[in-house]
Amino acid sequence: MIGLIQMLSFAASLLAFGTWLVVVALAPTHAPAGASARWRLRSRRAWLYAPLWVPAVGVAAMLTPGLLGALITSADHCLNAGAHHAHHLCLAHPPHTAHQLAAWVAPTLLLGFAAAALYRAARTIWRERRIALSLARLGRPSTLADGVRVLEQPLPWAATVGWSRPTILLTEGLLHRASPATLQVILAHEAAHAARRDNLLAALDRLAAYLLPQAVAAPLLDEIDLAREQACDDDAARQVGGALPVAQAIVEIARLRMIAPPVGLSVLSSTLEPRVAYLLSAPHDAPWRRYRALLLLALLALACVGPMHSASEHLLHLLLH
Amino acid sequence: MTSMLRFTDLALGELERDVLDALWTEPALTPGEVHARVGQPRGISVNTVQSALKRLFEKGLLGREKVSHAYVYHALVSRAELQRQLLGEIDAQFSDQSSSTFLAAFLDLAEEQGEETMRRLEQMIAARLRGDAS
Repeated sequence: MIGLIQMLSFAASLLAFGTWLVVVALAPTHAPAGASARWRLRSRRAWLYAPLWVPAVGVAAMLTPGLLGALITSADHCLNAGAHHAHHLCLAHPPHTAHQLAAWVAPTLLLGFAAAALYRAARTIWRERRIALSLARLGRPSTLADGVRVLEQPLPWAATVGWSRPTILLTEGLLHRASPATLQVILAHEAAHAARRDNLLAALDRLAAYLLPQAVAAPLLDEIDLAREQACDDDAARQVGGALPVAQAIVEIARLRMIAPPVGLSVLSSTLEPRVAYLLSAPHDAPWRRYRALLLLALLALACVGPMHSASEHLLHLLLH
Repeated sequence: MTSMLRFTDLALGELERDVLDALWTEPALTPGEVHARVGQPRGISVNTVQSALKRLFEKGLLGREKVSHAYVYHALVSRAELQRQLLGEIDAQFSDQSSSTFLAAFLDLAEEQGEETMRRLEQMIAARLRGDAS
């Protein structure tokens, strides 16, 4: 069995490196016009996480013919394949330990690189968590709703803080100056962040982004950030009965900011204009579009299982001999 | 309550937050008095409360004076000032990143638009309102 693990980890590391090169070279920088926020979110995350999920799918595809052969037809895939070389990717007939250094070195190097990048990301994320959690703890509980806290700040501002049990933070500046309709939109938008576990997913996105060069990861994260906000705008629009009140709320808060006391803070990039334009554009979600890409991928994966299995065995044979 | 204070670590645990809450309510308290307000309801010892007071003192959030044989602690920053400092800390530490991983804001802190952009957006909304009305 060690031989099989050796072969699979070697194959997975080759796939991960190949996918990483493809993402670095081809990751899109702009979303197609008219795509819904949720579609863009999924598509960008598919690119961001590709160096992780492609090797996983690849390994599953390599093992599938042997497993299906044994489970469904009770046939011996290895005998049917008619080849008895040393790198058969089959659970029933695991290959012997190859003892080739390369088969261990490639996965070890890749895992080492990934572990170092993820460690750096985890430290940054943890530091951010401590500060944001402290800010949430300093808010006073609000009577508006459970899980809402109020900050004694004049700047009109609202945010959702936390991973597992998110807290909604509102400032006194917002409560005193925003209209009731705008406040309702903001609460609906922030509740959507909480329900969707957006902060937790954002932390995972950041972890995955550390595996890519900054120049490739930054535009992907920017698009994910914008699509996440727009998806919550969509949820808020459904709750308050239309996209227009949400667009009005966003512009109202931006207006209040212009006359609010300056705070000199510059945390995040601007998303105001694309969010308002998105809300005022035509309906975005074409139901067929949501599933078309997934269906195509599933069909492609099924069609590729056999060739991928054989190609992987031949490639491993070539590389390790 | 100065805004020029510099803090090495602003992160607060729940006990530290409760200790600060107590010292924002009263002008000055001894560790025993803080323990009576914060420690006893939690069932923790005076030593644990003293450790929290010391940490907050070292962070520059509390001041203390020796009266007789015991320290008397008082807050050096208000709640609002500390919130402002934390927002500034978030800005300083994470300004190079496109988004936060623990905090999702309705409109980003930096979201500042020019008058021209705002007018254009308001005109788009007005046009949509007219379209809906007709």
